[in-house]
Amino acid sequence: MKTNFSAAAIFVPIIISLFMGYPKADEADSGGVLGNIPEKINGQWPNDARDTFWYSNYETAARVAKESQRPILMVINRGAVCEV
Amino acid sequence: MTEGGLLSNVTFKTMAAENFVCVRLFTTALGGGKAQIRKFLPGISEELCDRLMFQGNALVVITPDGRIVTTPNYEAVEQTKDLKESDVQMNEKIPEGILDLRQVMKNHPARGETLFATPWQFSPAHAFVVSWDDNRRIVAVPSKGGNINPSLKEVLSNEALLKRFQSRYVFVKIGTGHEPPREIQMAIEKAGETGVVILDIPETNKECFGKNTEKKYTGAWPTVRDISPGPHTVASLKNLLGEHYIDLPTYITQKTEKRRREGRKGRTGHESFEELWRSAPASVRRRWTEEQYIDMMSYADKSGRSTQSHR
Repeated sequence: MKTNFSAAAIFVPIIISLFMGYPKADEADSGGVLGNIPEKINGQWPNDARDTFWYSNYETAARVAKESQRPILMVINRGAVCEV
Repeated sequence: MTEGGLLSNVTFKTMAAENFVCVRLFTTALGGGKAQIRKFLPGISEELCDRLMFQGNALVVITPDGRIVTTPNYEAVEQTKDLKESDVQMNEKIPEGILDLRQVMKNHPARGETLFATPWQFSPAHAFVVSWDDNRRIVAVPSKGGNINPSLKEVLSNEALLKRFQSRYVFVKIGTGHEPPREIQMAIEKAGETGVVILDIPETNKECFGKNTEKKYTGAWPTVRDISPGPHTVASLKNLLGEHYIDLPTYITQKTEKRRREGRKGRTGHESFEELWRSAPASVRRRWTEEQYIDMMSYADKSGRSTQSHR
């Protein structure tokens, strides 16, 4: 019984942190769960913060990056083809 | 699709939205691809450009002044032809990808206020893919060579409007040289130069959007949902977009119900997302809301990956 409890104590946190998508240990060195991300409100992320929206044209993205002084995170995806 | 992995992770989405200007390019969508990559990465070699086009999924971080953040050591360097593939991309993995990006955030933090700008897609083809991918309807507006009516442009760049709707719609200009089917063009003409057209999510099938990306889209195009002639004010456009935006949990539930009636189960093997939520472990319920969980699972369902891929 004692052995089972010890095994659970080791593996359960690992499984939980894997399910959350990142290790708990990393939270400590960044001063919080997500650094400067807004706090949850009533247990939920504010919609504006939760939803990522994506630019796809250079002109807009480059201007926004420069004016807001944020790096661009560009995902290049070999996605579907639309013949237009 | 990329969204089946790192990009559908709630943690990633929240982090990316707050700290980066996010750009997504489907290399095979017509009207963009290599041309857009070249604009973002003007200094890289032809060989590297080709690799980014065809190797699958890649993540590239670019500083506000146009330098590439090399991923091995997270330093920003000038774009040159000497850059290697390993310098400009990260593997899409959980949790490694998130940790890498957290390191990038530490070295290159956001320094200014969030800016709102109309997130125009670069072509109708790209917009249709994003619409299907994200379960978002399309706001299509008329343009002459990419230039839209100044008053409509001002309304569509209103901060309050964008805060509410930028992530609930896909925005695209018609009249940029990459034209959609005649039915949509006629709707645009009917709306007039100050009007907007709301398009539904394109119906599709795996033949079009599956792994075989060599196949071209020949399925049904998005149908015209509403034609709203102008001139528009912020209030009138808010009403219009408020009327047509998709409430994701409801939408997914309806699709699931339809599938159930047709005797098909989801790829994740459950009868409905609600059922899946009810059976979710306590750790999931503590961490996510039902809406967030359904959001993620809808991606998993589309991409054919199991829930395991999100862990």
